[in-house]
Amino acid sequence: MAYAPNAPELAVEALRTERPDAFAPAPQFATTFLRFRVNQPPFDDIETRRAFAAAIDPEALAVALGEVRTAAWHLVPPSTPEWEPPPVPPWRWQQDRLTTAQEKNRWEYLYNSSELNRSVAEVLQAQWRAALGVEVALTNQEWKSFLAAQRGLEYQVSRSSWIGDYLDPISFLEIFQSDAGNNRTGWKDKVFDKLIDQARGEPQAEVRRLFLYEAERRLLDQAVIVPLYHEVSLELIDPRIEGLHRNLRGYVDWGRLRWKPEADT
Amino acid sequence: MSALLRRLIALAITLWAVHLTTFLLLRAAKGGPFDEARSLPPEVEVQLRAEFHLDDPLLQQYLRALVGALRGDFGPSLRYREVRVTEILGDALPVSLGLGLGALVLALLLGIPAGLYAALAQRGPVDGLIRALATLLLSVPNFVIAGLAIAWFSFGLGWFPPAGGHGLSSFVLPCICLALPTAAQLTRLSRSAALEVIDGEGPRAALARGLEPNQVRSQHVLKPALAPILAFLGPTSAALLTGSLVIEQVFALPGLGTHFVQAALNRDYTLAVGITVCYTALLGALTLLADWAMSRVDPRVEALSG
Repeated sequence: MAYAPNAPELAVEALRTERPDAFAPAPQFATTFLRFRVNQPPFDDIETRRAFAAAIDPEALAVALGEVRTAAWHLVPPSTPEWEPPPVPPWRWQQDRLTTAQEKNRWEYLYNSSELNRSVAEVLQAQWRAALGVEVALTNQEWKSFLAAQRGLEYQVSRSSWIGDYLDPISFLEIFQSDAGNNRTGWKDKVFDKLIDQARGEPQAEVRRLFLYEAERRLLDQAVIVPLYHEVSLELIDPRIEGLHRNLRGYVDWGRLRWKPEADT
Repeated sequence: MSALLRRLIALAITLWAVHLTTFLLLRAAKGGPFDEARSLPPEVEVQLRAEFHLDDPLLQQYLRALVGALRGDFGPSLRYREVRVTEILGDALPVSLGLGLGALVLALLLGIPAGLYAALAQRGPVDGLIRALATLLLSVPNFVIAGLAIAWFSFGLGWFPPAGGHGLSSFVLPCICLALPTAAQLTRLSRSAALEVIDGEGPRAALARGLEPNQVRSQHVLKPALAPILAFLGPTSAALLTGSLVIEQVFALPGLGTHFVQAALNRDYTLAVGITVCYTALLGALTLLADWAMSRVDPRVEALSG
C-alpha cells in the first residue's frame, strides 16, 4: 500500500517520532474551537465565558494531542494569505476564579464521538478542573444527533470546527453573523454584524482587512468561541514516492506523484 | 393450511413489522439526512425536503414507502441522491453474499470434520488440541484475527491485498476471518452432538446386532449427529450470508454491512429501511430453508414439504 489518507489517532505520536519519512502532517485551512451557547445561563455571562476560555491552554493541548497540530489562538488560521491576526485578548492571561455559587453549577461539555475528540475533551476537563476547580461532565453524541443538538442550541459548551471555503478570513468570520445558519451559539452582535457587512462592501483590500481584523478581535474578546488548534492532514505515504503537494484547502495534485528513481531507494 | 404456507405468511408479517419499526425508529432519531457540519442555505433545504417528501404527514410518508417496498422499490437514497436504494442493494448484496458464502463453506469444511474427528478420538491428545484451538478462536474477536491476518499475510508476506473488493484475492482474508469463529462453534457443536449419540443406546444396539464399526459410525453416529448441526446452521448461515459489519469495515469491502452502518449514521432513511428489509428477507428465507432441510433429516420435525 502506497498511501493512506488518515493515520489512526493512537499512532500519531509514534509515527511522528519513528517514521517521519512516511508521515508528513500538512496544515489544513481549518480551526477546531469551542462554541459557547451565549443566550442562556450559565454562559450568557461574559465573565464566566472568559474564565472558562482563560483556563484553556491551547499549547498544552497541542502537546497532549501528539504535537502534530498547532495550537490556535485565533479562528482565522495563520496560514491565510495577506492576513495579520488581531492580538489575543489580554484577559486570556488573567485567570479569574468562579464564584462559590457558580462552582456548584452543573457544567457540561458536548462533543461528537471520536477518538480525537475524546482526548480533547479529557484535556479540557483537566484544564478546567485545575484552573477553576470545576468538574465538567463530558457528553458525546453521534454525529447527526450532535449536529441537531448544536443547531438547536441544546448545549452549554461544545466542540466545533470549521474548514474555510476559500482562502479569505471572511470565510471563517461570517458564520458568526446574527442570522447566519452556522452561527449555532445564539450570539447576536450588531457591532460584529456591521463589521462583516462593511467588509463585504469594501473594495479596498487594506480597509477591508481592517474591518475583518476588528471583527475577529470582537469575536474573540466577547468569548463566543475559544480557538483550540488548527487541524492537519494525517497522511501516510510510501517514502519512495515524491511529489505529494497539497494546497491549503486539502486538495492533492495526484498527477504529480512519482516513484523516486531507483538509485535513491 | 400447509406448514409452508403458514411460515410464508408469518415471514410476510415479520417483514412488514420490520419495515414499519425501522421507518419509525429512524424518524425518531435526532438529526436528519440534510444536517451537516455546515448548514445548507435555508431555501436549498426547503427544496430538498420537498423533493423527498420529508414534510408530508408521517402517515403519508409511510404509505408511500410501503407501497414502494411492495413493488420492490425503496425510493432514492437520501445521501446519494441520484442513486436508487435498489441499485445500491444490487451492487452491495453480491459482495456480502460472496463473502458470506465463502466463509460458510470454509466453516463447514473446517468445523464439522474437526468436531467429528475430535469426538471419535475422545479425550485423546488430538481431541484436546482441537478443543483448545476452538476455544481460542471463539474467544478472540474476529476484528483482532482480522488485524493480525492483515499484518502477517498482507504486510508481512504480501500474499493478499489488505483492503478493497477488487478480485478474488481480496476476499481470501475476509472469508477466513469471518469463517474461523463459526468453524470453532461448529467444531464444538458437532463434537458434542456426536458424543451424545456415541454414548447413547443406538450405536451400542447396532454393534450388538453385529454391524461393522464403520457402518455404525456413518449410519448410527453421523446421521443422527447432523440434526443439531443443521438446526444451528440455519441462523448461522443467515448471519454469515447477510455479511459482517465488522469484517467488511476492517477490509473495506463495499458490502451491505458498510452501507448499513453508514445509512443509519447518515440518517439515510430510505437506504437504511431498504437494507434492513433486505436483511430480514434473507434471514427469513434462509431459516425457512434450514428448517426444511431439518425436516428431511429429523422425522420429529414438522415437515415443511407439504
